[in-house]
Amino acid sequence: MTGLAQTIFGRLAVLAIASVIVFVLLSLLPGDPATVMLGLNASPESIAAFHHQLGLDASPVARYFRWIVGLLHGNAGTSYVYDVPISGLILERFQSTLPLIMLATVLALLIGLPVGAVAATNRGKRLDLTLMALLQLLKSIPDFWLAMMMTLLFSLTLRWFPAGGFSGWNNGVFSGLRALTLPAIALAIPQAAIIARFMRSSLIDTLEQDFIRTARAQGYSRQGVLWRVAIPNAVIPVLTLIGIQLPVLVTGSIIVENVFNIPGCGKLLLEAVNQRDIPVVQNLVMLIVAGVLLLNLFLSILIRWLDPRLAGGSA
Amino acid sequence: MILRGAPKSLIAGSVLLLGCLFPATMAWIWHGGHAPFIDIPNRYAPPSLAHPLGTDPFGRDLASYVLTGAFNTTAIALLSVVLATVIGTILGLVGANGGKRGWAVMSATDLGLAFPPILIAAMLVTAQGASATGEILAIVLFGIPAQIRITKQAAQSILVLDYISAARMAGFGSVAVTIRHVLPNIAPILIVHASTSLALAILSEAGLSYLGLGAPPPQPDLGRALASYQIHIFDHPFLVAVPGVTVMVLVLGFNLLGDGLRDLLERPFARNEERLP
Amino acid sequence: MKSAFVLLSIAGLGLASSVSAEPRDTMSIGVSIEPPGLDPTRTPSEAVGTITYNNIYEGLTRLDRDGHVQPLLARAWTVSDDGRVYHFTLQDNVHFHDGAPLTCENVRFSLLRAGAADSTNPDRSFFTNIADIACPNASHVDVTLKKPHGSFTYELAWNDASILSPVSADKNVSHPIGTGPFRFQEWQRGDHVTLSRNPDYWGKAPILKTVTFRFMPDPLAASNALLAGELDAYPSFPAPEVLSRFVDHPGLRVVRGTFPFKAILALNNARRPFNDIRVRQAIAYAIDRKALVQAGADGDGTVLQSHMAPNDPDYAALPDRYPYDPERASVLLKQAGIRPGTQLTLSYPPITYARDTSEIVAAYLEQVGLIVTLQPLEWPTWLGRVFGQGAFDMTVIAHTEPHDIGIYDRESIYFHYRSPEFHALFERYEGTENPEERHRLSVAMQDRLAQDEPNVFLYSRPRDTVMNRHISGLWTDQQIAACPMADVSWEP
Repeated sequence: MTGLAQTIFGRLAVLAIASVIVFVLLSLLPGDPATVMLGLNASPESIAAFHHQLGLDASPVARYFRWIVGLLHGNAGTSYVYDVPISGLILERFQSTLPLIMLATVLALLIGLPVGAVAATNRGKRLDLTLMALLQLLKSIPDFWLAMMMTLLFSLTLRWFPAGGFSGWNNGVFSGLRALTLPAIALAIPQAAIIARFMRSSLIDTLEQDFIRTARAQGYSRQGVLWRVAIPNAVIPVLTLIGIQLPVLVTGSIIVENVFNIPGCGKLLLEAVNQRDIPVVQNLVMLIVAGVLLLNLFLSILIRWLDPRLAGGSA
Repeated sequence: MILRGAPKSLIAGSVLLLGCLFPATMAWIWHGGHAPFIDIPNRYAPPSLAHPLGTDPFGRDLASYVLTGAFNTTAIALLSVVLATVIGTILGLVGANGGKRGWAVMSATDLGLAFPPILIAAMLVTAQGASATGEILAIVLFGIPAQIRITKQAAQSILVLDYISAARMAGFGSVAVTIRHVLPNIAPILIVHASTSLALAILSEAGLSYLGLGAPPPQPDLGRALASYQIHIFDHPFLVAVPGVTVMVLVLGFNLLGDGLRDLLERPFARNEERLP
Repeated sequence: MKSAFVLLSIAGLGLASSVSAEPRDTMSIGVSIEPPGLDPTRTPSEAVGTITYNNIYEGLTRLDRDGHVQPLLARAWTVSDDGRVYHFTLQDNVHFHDGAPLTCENVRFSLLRAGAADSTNPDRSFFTNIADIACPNASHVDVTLKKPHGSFTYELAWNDASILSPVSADKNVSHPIGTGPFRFQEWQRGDHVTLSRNPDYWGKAPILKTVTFRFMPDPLAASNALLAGELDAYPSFPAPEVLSRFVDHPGLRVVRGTFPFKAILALNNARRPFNDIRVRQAIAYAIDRKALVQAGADGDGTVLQSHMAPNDPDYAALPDRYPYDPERASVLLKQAGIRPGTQLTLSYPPITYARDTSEIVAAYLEQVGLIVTLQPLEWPTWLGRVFGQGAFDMTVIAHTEPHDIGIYDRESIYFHYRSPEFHALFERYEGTENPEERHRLSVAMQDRLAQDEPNVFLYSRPRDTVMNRHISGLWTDQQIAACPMADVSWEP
């Protein structure tokens, strides 16, 4: 288990370093927030009062630790622009971002795994070559452009999906899901293409392994070996791929939320950047980074558990 | 194995890239790197001899604008990939040689995993405002970890070979061994990776500038062009289609080039096409 | 997957039709900018007024849809002969949303707070002329001015002269409390603000039960939402080039109205080379403003000659002093000693007209040999650096306040214009109540600005409201940043 402990410790150390980077970039670099907050003709007294109120008169180290301790208690500070607690703002937005990313991941797997498996089992044939060419094309489409084109076709021309964005879960789960479907597809397609291509190679590799040949030699049917042994074994490396693709998925969701006008974390991030709402950017970035790292950690533990052969190396 | 397809993807990729980047470079030189001049009375002109793709909402020649944008987008992506490759390769070689430095380098790659370019760009824009430097920095920082990982893996597979031990015993230091024996041997893998990284970097660049986190105007840029033309998706869908397809052609071109190069250069190393990015 | 799509879409259609069958008492209004807070006495943002003006907050007076001053919380008033003392009589039975009654003390508190030394009020200078406010009893207010000010009751109708309660004033940013026909219900940041009917309103009860202002800065998303019926109206639609999409739509109509939109290329008159009138004139000659009208207003706008929009009663159609003439511009620049290749910076806030106009202006200035660096700024930076500190070369901005030529007399104005002649005209203008005299002086002030060309006056454009055909009562002309909802209703 030392390998696992090392992985966990490594990821937590990385998280700590990431928090320092975020803090330095956003708390120390941008200068005095009072000039933004109080703006126009602030007097020195009101600037001093403002500094004291936000604790900006403390040393950077003290400020860093106060930030981290606050975060661990679920207190992320106050938004400059809205003057409300940031944790509430982010929590509100998570209700759209989390379902979107989950839906997109499920869709990407549902499309990517079977397509990859079909290509692998038809390796070298016309079907495989056609699929590979198509996937190469889909992998190359910018997701925001795909999103625009899909709105044009499905929302505005065919009117299958609402076009005005996602307005929360208040109108029922079904209408919420309906509004999220198109963005999730736009997000899923390039991912599905990457997963399919990877699944294909992974399955081809697995099918060439000795234990598959042994199983075949022992008289198991080709289909039986494929479904019971080869595919489950081929899926494990795909999990690693998903871990690596997570940041890309997060990036995609930020872009897609902005194209489809979904009030999620990605839209909040961009709004906060545009309004120079530094604490919101700082905490949101930290949260996304932590989310990606922890999910990654979870995936590597899962992979270890599924595939004991990997227990030695790091995933 | 689809060896028959390998040269095809190399040819297809090269054709796409040449077909796009040659006129893009010409357009860029012709306009001195600037956007073509505005001509408001002539806006939304249909395609003609003077304007093969018509004009945009400012009356600029759409073809020149998009081509100049394609040049700028590719230039930013190329610069980012070159920087990421150089830095990542050096760090990866240090990492492959092991020791304490190696461990530190490998932790740094985990760190990079957590920071997609969009987050780096968001932080830099918040702190310093939008700039081309910030955008390049964001793409470079994201590209380095993958470069380190790939260099390290490839280098380690060489370092265990017998003749390396022989060279070591002959008194060559690890730097000399790395430069004389490891680097030439892993070069094909690095070249292939650079090509696919370029595809990813172009996607990142377009996405960042679409969101306004990229290089600021007035230099034309494909992502920014899409952002400003998108309200015309109904009345002038052409305006949205042209820059979008251009991004796709560039990305597809570099992806195909990467595939082709892999089959051509890496045959002794890899039996299979896809590798973790 | 395909069957799932069909299922989803069928269910959606059923939902949409069941909604439209019910009688409607709610309305969703699209707006392009989310306000940073809902307190008009703190932020100079048009977005605050759109949501709050005469919905949540009310002032002593109000502007009607034609821009005339009408009584509101002040039922009536008289002015002393020397024009310095105003006697207001307050409405009876007015209560704030938290139940507190309106008294003279609230008026005193609100107006003195707005003019105080530490006031953050965007129009603080309106209130610094107040010498004293006396409360003879709860329903009467006597305001004494330092010097006569003909625009006083007009300025009291502005958003930032709203009457507040001392208990809630400091929390109005996130929990606004006023005396208006609607109460604040919720604000989901980044998405919408919802107001609900005030059942205890002192005046005529509003017709709608709830009004939702949805923030839709992207014209494409906004037009999609309108076409799909997810948004009922969008006053001040930001992109005229998209309007053609609505023309054939059976459920929507587009109403072209007016508003005091004055897009200017503001120049820093305190900085070289803009302190030289020849340079300012050269820049004006170098820009084809007719082309700007075509690009910025889809052709249906007016080239401005001064800081007054055509919908203002005092607007004067002055002759075009600076027609497009790049050669003349080059000559003037040469006379002023400006070499070709001189570097200038053009900053602009993040809004479509400003970005597009800046890009075009930069291209024109490059034609006469000036090298322009475009500098996109975010709102807080623009407000702080350009508007607040006046630290900039050139900026493109649209002033949308009504009748605001007086800013050229302000000492702290960001473009640093100083003119004794203009000051004298403005003093005389504010010193008189005579309408003809005021009009004459206003025209003289406009002409003065056109001669001095402190800024390059670019264009004004109409205001387009896109709305459901069944909506009635919505303001389509805008005299002041406002969207009063009390009289708005659904017609069969």
